[in-house]
Parts: sequence; structure tokens; C-alpha cells
Amino acid sequence: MRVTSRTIWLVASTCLAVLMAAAPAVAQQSSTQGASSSSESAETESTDEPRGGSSEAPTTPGSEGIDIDVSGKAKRTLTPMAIPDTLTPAGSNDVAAEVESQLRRSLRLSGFFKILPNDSFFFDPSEEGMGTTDINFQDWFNVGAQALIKSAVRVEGDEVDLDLRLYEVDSGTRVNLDWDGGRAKKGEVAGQVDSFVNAVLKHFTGTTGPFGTRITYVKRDDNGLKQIFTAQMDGSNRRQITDNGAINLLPSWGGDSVYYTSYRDQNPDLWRWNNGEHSKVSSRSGQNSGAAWCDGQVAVTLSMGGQNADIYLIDPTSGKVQKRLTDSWAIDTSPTWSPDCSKLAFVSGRAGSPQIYVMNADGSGVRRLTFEGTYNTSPNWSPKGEEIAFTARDRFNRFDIFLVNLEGDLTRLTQDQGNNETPSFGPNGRYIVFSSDRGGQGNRLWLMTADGEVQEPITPDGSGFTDPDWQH
Amino acid sequence: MERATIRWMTFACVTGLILLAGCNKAPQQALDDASDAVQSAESKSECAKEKFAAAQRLLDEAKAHSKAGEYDKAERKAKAAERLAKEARETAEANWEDCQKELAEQRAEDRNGRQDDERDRRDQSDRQEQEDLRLRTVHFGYDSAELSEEARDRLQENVEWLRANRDASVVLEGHTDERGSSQYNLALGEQRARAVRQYLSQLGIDTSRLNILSYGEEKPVAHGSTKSAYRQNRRVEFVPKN
Repeated sequence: MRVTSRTIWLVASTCLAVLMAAAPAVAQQSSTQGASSSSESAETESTDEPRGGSSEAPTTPGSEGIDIDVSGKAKRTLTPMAIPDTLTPAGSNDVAAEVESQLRRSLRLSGFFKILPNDSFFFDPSEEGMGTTDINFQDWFNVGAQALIKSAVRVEGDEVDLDLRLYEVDSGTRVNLDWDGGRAKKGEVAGQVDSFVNAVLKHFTGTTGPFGTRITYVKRDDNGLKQIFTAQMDGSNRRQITDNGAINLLPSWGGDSVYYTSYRDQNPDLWRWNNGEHSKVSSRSGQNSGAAWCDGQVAVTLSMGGQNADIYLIDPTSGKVQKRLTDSWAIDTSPTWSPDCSKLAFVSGRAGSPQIYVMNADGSGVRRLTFEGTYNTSPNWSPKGEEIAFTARDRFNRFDIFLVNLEGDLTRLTQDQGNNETPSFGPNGRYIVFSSDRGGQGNRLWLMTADGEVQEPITPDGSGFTDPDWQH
Repeated sequence: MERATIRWMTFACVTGLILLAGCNKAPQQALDDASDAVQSAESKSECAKEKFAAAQRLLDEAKAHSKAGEYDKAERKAKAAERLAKEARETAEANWEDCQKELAEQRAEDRNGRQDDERDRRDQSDRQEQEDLRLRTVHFGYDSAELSEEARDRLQENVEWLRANRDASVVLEGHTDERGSSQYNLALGEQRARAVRQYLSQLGIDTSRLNILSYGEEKPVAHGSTKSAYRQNRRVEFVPKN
């Protein structure tokens, strides 16, 4: 059964690839900045046919220049959205520019909208008010917008009046959003915009957005050492949490804590950062690494004096071993919990090469999930429950991100875009953060929709960003 | 020339020489005086080396002339030797203290120099020993912890080192190249170090002297994403433990 479905998928995707390669939209791929030479990126440009006749690529000259890469197989229709400059009824201020740029960037990152370029507006939106009766919906319809976000900011000292509204252009009506913004301190404005964008996403998709949630990741510092950081999932608000002159790696969230492995005491020990405090959780000789947390349970890899790496359950604060989950001659590592904490997926080398396996939370019922390829690692279980994202090395020795379901069916999410590794699902399973060296700029963090169709960098600056983990 | 003439000339010369020699006797007094002067200067000779050496040379030449019957030359050189020997002594006495201080420094330097040379020679032989017995790094294939023939040969050398340094413990540092999952690489580095430990144990090394520490892909020796860099980075290093 498994073989059959995989075969069908293979045949189908091959046929699709052939068809797409022949499609005339190939020329448009030049508009995607980070995209490399393949026909993959071109494929989906042709699927992007918004109402209103505009066939421009999602990135525009007026935007912040974030790479966009649309790849994949299924059709994703992006809703054309206009986000004119934020109005400043009480005189210009420095908050307005941040609000309008955050709105545009977040809604583009979300993967559901095509943000119309400002220079396509043939009228002056700054002369138009915020209310339904002030807006000329025919004008917005004529520029191709289906959705319109109006924003206004009034600053009084440290306080900001934030007015954010979503309109449907077709019906000319304001959408009643699950958002009660209004007055905020200056430092809270970005958070307010995040929750507004989440409400907009809930209106269009039925599920709230991920904005404002946090990731942790590794960043190589100027001394060549790796340090642990946290940031919001869009790459904003970065905070360095280790600065100890040692190598630090493999960070993961456990509630509001971050577990990580550090060599600060000359052994790869497991540490926990909580509210600014660092404490050592497990320091058995050999590795103490890759904590996976689920509702207070912590699975880790221990090697007990450099003996073989196996997966154990430990106490989340004392590090005391509660149960040994694997005991094979080969490497067992990289545990990841199913959302209900009843199962774990992990990597094992017991078949002679690293492959993805699943087992029950007590270590019983071990079952191999991946059979293709000879190097499958870094599994991360979707909060939706049915799929596990992982890194695979393909036959061209490139690393790419795939999904495998519990029947072993594979879906490829990245292709021909450098090396793509260490996927981590966001809270509702709709997005994946991962590291990619595409574009020849070293490793950066990228965000993609869980179907792989929309992919954008969230750390466009610098390099040496790896091993992201998204807080759930 | 005629034979008779030659014979006559030879005769005349020989006669002349005999007459000359017969007319003078050896300048014994002058030679004795010179010898005394040189001898008395000898104790101070090191502070007037050149003059003393010249005096001694003249005395020797004077004696040679005297032996050869050249008494005139012998006497002149003997007198010159005596004068020079006396000068040497005077010169030496005049700057005796400075001279001695310099000489002391000179001797100290010489001594140090000899010690340095000695140390250099010792170091060199130590280095030679280390060259013979050093801890070598072993390398591995991609995603592999298997010991190649070459790796086993190298480990044989490390075993010699461990036998020669019975009190030493080492850390077997396992490393991987940069490709792949950093967590899997942490385990792979351990696996490599473990393979080395097992092999050394088979060769009779006590495993309590062999500690394992994996750095995974975190400590490359060669940077860059080339096959050569990958090859150099897939390794187990022996680090002596203090």
C-alpha cells in the first residue's frame, strides 16, 4: 500500500514537472531574487493568477526587497491586498512608518496575500479617510485589490492611538475583526500590529496567524563560537541568551524555557535558560543534547561516557533519568514529540544509515518511517499531528526538507534552492522555520508555508543562522 | 763559466762562512735576557695577548737564528723580544683590572653559550623522540566510524606513545565535517572516538586512560565547503590530558 501511494505520487509529480517546464511563464522567474536556476520557481508563478488581471510577481520594487520564492505543486491563490501608507492625522510621527512596513511585511510573510505595490495606486490614498464612507472602493477595485487595510497613528508622548481596519473591496464593507487594539504604549505597538495581522489571517483562513510567537536558534558569533538567541518568528526582536565563550548548540523550547547544549564546562552538557537564569540540567559524561519537551516531559539524547547515543526521559529540571527509551547498538537521537505526547519520532542509524522512526512514549512499538534516501535526520512533528518534517539528503547530495506522514508517504517541500535543513513547525502547524544556504549567503533562517509554496528569509542579514526551534 | 772559477768561488764562500762564524759566538746573554722577560710577562700575557705573542715569536726566531749560527740576527731578535715582552708586561699591568673584568664576562658568556648549545642538543634529541612517538590524528570516511588500514597504522604509533607515557591519559576528540544534522554529527563524532578506543583497547591500552569527547561538526580544522576540508575534518584527535 505504501509503495503504491508513493509510486503514484512520484509519477504524478514527474508529469507535473514536465508540464511545468514547458509552461511559458518561465521568463517570470527572474523576478524572484533568491531563486536559483531551476524551473521550480517558475512553475508556481503561473499558478498565481489573482483577480484584477495583475500578473506581477509578489515582490515589487517598492517593497523592502525580501526574497520571495514560490515553489510547489498545488495551487495557492494569493489574495491581492492594498496596504496604503499609514495616515498621521495629528502630524507626522516616527511610528507610522514602522506600522505600515510591519503590516506589509507580515502579510506578505503569511503566504496568503499579494501586497499591491504603492506606485500602482493612480490616486492619492493619503487624501482618503479611514471610514467606510470616506473610501472610494471603486478606485481600490480598479487597482486590483480585494482586501484593503487602512491604518492611522496618532502619537501623544509615550502613548500611541493605533487605528487598524480591514475592508473588503468587493462589498465595500469593514470586516469586524477579533482585535481590540486602540491605545498602546510605544513599545507595545509592534505587538498590537502582530495581533491585528493574526486576526486578519483568522478572518481569511479560519486560523489565527503565528505573528508574535517566538523561535530560538543558533548564531555563529564573531569569534566563531555558536551562541543561542531568541527572536520572534518574523526575525524581529532578537535577544542573545548565551555569551559564555563556549560552543552552544541545539536550542529547543520547553514552555518558556530554552534548553540547549553547551561546552562551557568542557563537556556537551544540557542547560536550561529560564527568565534570564542559566542552570545545568544534565551533565553526564558524553553528550546531553537535543531536549524535546512535551507537557512537562523531556526526552534527550545521552551517551553515558561516550557510549552509544540513546534516547532517555529525564526530569525537566533535575535531569534525573526517568526512563531509557531506546537501546540499540546504533545512534538513536533527535527525539520529537507527537502533539498529544503519546509518541516520539527520532533518528536511528540501526538500519545502517540515519532514518526516521516512531515509537510510543514508553519506547515500545518502534517503527521505521523513511525508506528512501540514505540520510534522513532532524525530524519535527507537526502540531497538527499527521506529519513529520525532516531533512533528507537527496541523490545529488543536497539537503532538502520533506514531510513524511505516519504511512510513510513523502512530500518534498524544498528543491534546487541550496541546502535546506532543520525544519521546525510553528504553533498551529501552518508554517515551518528552517535554515537554508540558498543565494550563496551562508546559512540564514527562512519561513515557509507548510506546503512549501511560499518561502521567505526572516534573517536576510548576515549568516551563520542554524537550528531554529519554534515555541509552541 | 769555467769549472776552476766555480770551484774557487765555492771555496771562498765556504771559507768566508767559516771565518764569519768563527769570528762570532752565540748571543747567549741576549737570549737569556729575552727568555727571562718573556717568562716574567707570561703570567700577565692574557691582558696583552698580541704583544706577548709577538715577543714570544721573536724569541723563538732568535733561538732558531742562534742555532743556525746566525748570531747577529739572533741577537737583534732576542733584544726585540725582550723589549716587547717588557712592554707586554707593562701594558698588562696598566689595564689589569679592566682587563680582568672583561675576561670574567667573557668567561661567563662562554659558559652560557656552552650551556645553550648543550640544551639545544638535548632539545633536538627530545624532538627527535617526539617525532618518533607522537600522537597522530586519524581520519574517517563520510558518515562512517570505520577504521581504515591507514587509520590502524597511525593508531599503532599512538599505541607506542601511550606505552612510552604510561602515566598519561588522553581525550579522544571525535569530529565530523559540516554536512548534515548537528545533533546526528555529535553522535557520529562519539562513534568515531569510540571505534578508536575499542581498537586501542584490543592493542592492550587500558580504556580508563582513554576519554571520549565529541565536538560533532563544531570544531573544524579546515574551513570551507570543499571535499578536502571535509576529509580533514572527519577525524579523531588525541589530546593529552593533564
